[in-house]
Amino acid sequence: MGLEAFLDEQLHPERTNDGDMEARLIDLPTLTMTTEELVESYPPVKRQIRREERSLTEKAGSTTAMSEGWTARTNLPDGAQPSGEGTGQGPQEILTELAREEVLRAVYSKRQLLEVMVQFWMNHFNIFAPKGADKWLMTSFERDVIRPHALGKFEDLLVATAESPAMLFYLDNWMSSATAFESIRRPAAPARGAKWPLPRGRQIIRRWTFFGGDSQARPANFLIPSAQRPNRGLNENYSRELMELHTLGVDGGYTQRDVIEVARCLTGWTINRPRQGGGFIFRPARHDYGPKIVLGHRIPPGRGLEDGLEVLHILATHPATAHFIARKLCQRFVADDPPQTLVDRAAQTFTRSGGDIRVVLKTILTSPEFYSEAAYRAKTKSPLELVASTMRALGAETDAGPCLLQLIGRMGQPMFQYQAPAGFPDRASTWINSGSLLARMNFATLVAANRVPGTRVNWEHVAPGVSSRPEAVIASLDRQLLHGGLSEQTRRALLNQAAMGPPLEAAAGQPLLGRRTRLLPAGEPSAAAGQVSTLAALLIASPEFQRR
Amino acid sequence: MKIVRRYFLKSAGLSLFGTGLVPSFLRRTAFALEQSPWSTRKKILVAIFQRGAADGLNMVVPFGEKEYYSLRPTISIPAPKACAGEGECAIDLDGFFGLHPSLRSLKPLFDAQRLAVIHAAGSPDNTRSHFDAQDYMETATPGMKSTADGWLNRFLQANPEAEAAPFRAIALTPRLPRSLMGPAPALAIDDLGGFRLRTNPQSRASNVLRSAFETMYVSAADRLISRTAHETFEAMDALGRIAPEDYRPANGAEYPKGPLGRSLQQIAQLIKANVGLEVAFAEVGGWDHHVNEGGVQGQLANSLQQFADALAALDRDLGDRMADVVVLTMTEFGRTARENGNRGTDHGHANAMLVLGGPVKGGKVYGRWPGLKPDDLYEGRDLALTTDFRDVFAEILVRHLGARQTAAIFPGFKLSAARFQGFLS
Repeated sequence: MGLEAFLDEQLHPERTNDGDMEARLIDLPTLTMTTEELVESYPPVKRQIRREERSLTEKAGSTTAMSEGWTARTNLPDGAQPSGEGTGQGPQEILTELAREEVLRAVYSKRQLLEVMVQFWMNHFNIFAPKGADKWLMTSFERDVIRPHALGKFEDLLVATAESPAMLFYLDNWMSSATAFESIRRPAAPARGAKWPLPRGRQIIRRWTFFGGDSQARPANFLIPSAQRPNRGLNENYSRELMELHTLGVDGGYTQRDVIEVARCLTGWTINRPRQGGGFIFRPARHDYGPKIVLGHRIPPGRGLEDGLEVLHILATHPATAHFIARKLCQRFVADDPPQTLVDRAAQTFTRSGGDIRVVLKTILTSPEFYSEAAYRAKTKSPLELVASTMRALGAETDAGPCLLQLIGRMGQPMFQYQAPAGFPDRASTWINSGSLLARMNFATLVAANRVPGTRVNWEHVAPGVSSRPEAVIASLDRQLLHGGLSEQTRRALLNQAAMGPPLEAAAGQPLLGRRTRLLPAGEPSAAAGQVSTLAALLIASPEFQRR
Repeated sequence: MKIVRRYFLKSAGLSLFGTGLVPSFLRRTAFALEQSPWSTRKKILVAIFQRGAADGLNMVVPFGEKEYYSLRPTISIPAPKACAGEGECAIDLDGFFGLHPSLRSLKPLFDAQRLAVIHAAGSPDNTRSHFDAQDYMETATPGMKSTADGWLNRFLQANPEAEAAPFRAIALTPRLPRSLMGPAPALAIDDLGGFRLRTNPQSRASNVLRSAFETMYVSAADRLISRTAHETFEAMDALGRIAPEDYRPANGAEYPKGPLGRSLQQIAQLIKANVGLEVAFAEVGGWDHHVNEGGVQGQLANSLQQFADALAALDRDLGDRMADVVVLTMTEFGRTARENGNRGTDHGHANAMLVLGGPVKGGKVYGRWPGLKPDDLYEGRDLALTTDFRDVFAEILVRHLGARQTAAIFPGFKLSAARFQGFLS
């Protein structure tokens, strides 16, 4: 297949049959469950309930809106580090299965570009999954929010994330409401026709439009004192990250005032029946109906859900957003510091196409910069990329089990566990330090020796029909793993190893991955390991294989 | 002798360890023959970053300030005299400031004049982005994003050692923090015991494999990899001798379970092992309490308890060695003086920093207090800044670590000893 045809196929993943891939996911039942089903099937573990109940009884911490693990804890208690190892029963299992899906797709899917973009957006709209309710919400976030829009229109993707329970919970917008302070400060308009309690749902919006003409107007019921309505008040968290990280970028020209105004527009965007895992709902009772000004745009008073949608539209179509997203995409595909000319062209495409991600990708992937000398192996592979490229190059069989997930974590990319909303920085310095480099050596050694439970390389098939001469083995591995990109230094190290070393099998230890990890039953040591696997271990860890 | 000193042997022309083929009896003999190159004890800085912006107003409580209570109706810490019972109110420091009750294990250190607070300190930049603010603090160049290296790395660069120790600078973190990034060597190791190749150490095969890795990396064209690999192998050799998994804290010190306790215990271990440590870095997350922050009890209280107990355990474990050590805590910015509608606090401005150690003139809250009246607040909402964090950094580098070339460490910032708070003599 020619390059153009390949690109075209990758840009239209729906045209590719990926049935073999999907078959590998059959044993992961959580992937097809709704959030309600997940909450039902994987209730919080008991210990966790007790601990969180304790924190709920504390006088300042108690709220009626949350209980049983659906608390707004910002962080896990120290020591409760989530690991890639599933507990079998608790909600951790959900995240383990989701991580396994991502690894399996990275290794086996024919729709490579789609998978790369799913990972890109998951990181762009990063969520720290162990935070409270997000353990149950990530599956739907990946499946229903990110994946369907990964190659679609940016604004659709943005709105989908803004309405997603996972993001509403992670960045606290589900609790944000018009502030008591604001309510008191503003004179109240007579609430003609306003009834309490208000009907729920989106259909309510039109009811309030009659306030549209009066900038000071707001329904009287919004003046109920905060003492009777705990948890009332504005929360700026999502608003700030929405502009800084999801759209405009930190230098996108917004101010603290904009942060507050955007947060006001998004009041009422919350989660329906959060304890049962319900979906998005706009709650008119929590909305701030005053007039707002966002980035110089007047948002008229008296509207409801439209405020937030208009803000998202302003942000999605802002030139700073086009530039910010274009730059991040170029950084993903071309270089840590991508050429400005390419970023500018990609940003133009973004604006011209109305934020069509597929079209922007085409601009980048067909650009001379993408194929330039400077972009060749310019990027350092993330741990997930290292694992996927290793498995693909060696034709390995893997179930992406807990041990492999732990290795990815040890290499510095614990999946869905980057705590800050910024996501992993897409730069070499994120991935290469003394600890993670050592972890890469250990990954290479353990995989080559077939000591990773659930993962197996058939060395008989890796270099078939090659004579046992080291030169021939090295040449064959070079073709498979590096497309002939082996450096002179690495070739020398390999030849030296071949001349001196007994096979890897004798050297490889057990996958001790942390002090609490028990040894898992390893695959049988390969009889054919010998020279091929030993040299492959070095090649997988080689400086050139760390690049893409 | 506990430690391997590979680079020492190298400099003596005994480059044996690159091949890893030296029998262990010979190694022991070699060490026994030589004196430690650090027989004169080094001064040490332990920098701790509280990531997420800790709420300094509830950490070191200005209970003498009436506005504090009106701004925070549900999350304030009662004044010492308003106490309902043990642990229910601030612990009085000087009649105006008090420690959060969860910090009680730090009170004896304050009383012993080994712990000082610098209040209303922080970054003059008004960003309320965690990422920018952390970046500015770690590069020590507020408002400048183009700074390539971290402040601790620039200290290392500007004050090179004749005989660079592999453990001169280490972060007990999975990724190298911005503070230590730069051309000077610095390690990132989150678990000392696990820092080794997963091969059977007894086998000759594993030695051969290890030296193949080393050969491959050391001459690699990728300079980030070759430099990192060099540091990695040096550190691995040194750690092979310390046997970190057998460590027992001294003086009955008990580190709290959790990442910070674990990091500080490993730092204590490295300090006692005399591996030439000069700058250690640890971090602790979980301070971004927008919702249900809590008051005397709650989320912040729990985080503070871990935090204080880890610091107190480090002090106790190190005992006399604290004479050489200064511990500095920092966080990217403060939090809003007023609590928000979710009984939490949003991103603010100035904050409290703690300094602990033998050389510290403690028992005092340093810094000019700007007050919390509406007109005193920064941008009408946050604690105002009276001490630039760079003046705190600089005082420690100059007076404790004996730094030279401070202008290169703090580019674009005019240092003046007159602005030092004087928490170090």
